[in-house]
Amino acid sequence: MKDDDALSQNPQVSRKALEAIHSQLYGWALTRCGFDRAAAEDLMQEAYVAVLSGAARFDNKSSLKTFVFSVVQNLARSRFRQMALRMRLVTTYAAGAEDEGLDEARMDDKESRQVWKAVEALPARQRDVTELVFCREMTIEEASMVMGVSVGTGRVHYDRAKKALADKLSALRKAD
Amino acid sequence: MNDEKLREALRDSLQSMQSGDVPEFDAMWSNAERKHRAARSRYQQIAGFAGAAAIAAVAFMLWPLNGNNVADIYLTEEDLLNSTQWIAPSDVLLPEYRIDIYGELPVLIETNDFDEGSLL
Repeated sequence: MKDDDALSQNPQVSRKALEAIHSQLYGWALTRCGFDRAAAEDLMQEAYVAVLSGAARFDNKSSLKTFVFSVVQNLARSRFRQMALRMRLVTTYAAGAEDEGLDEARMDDKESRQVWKAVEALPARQRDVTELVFCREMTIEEASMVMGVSVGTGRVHYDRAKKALADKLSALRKAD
Repeated sequence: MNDEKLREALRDSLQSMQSGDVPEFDAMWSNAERKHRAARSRYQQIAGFAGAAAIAAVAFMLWPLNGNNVADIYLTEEDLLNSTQWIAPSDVLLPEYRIDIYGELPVLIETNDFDEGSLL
């Protein structure tokens, strides 16, 4: 069924449906850009332009969420790859410097950062599948579609990531 | 560590990492629409210029056809014959270049007179 506010170049997509997943998409864009808010906003805007212009066309073969996530992923890969890498390096360096001055009240925050650092230490695809499945409520099939890999490959990355993370987090807890 | 605990730890971690307000959808959408409109009008301008340039190029190429002097445009038969030369490969067999192989033709007698009942 076609919505009233369906886009002219992408009739299967409506503004309302995009608005419903906007915050999740922003979260995904943020991690694509090393948590740089301005870069994430730019990336999302580019994704919306791609959807508006029909450069990225939704054909109902997956869920809208999967489609828009993969648009962001592809844009991030092509336009922001180097920038994101630089930002990740900066963030890592900045976080390292900041950790030294953490007080007791921010211990929870520190623990969260350590957990996420463990995720960021994973290879790119393992990191992506972890985020999509554990934090963005996607199935392995959907996550594989977003990453542009086969389901089998996605499953392998998922299993390896899960095992590596479980080991790292257990080690972190023992150390605390 | 089981899946559920891992999920919980990762979600908490990600939430704390991306703390802060999510930018408003309406603002971002209208910016995207503006950008899309600008890109489209730019594209239309470029397409317009390209179309005009193509038409101008075709008009320029066809321009001489509008003139009256067709002979200037098309090659005449005479021009064609004067502009081509062909040498038979067998010319190498001749004793000299462009020799008149027929030479002088013998003059044959032409008469309607009969001699002893037969035509000479």
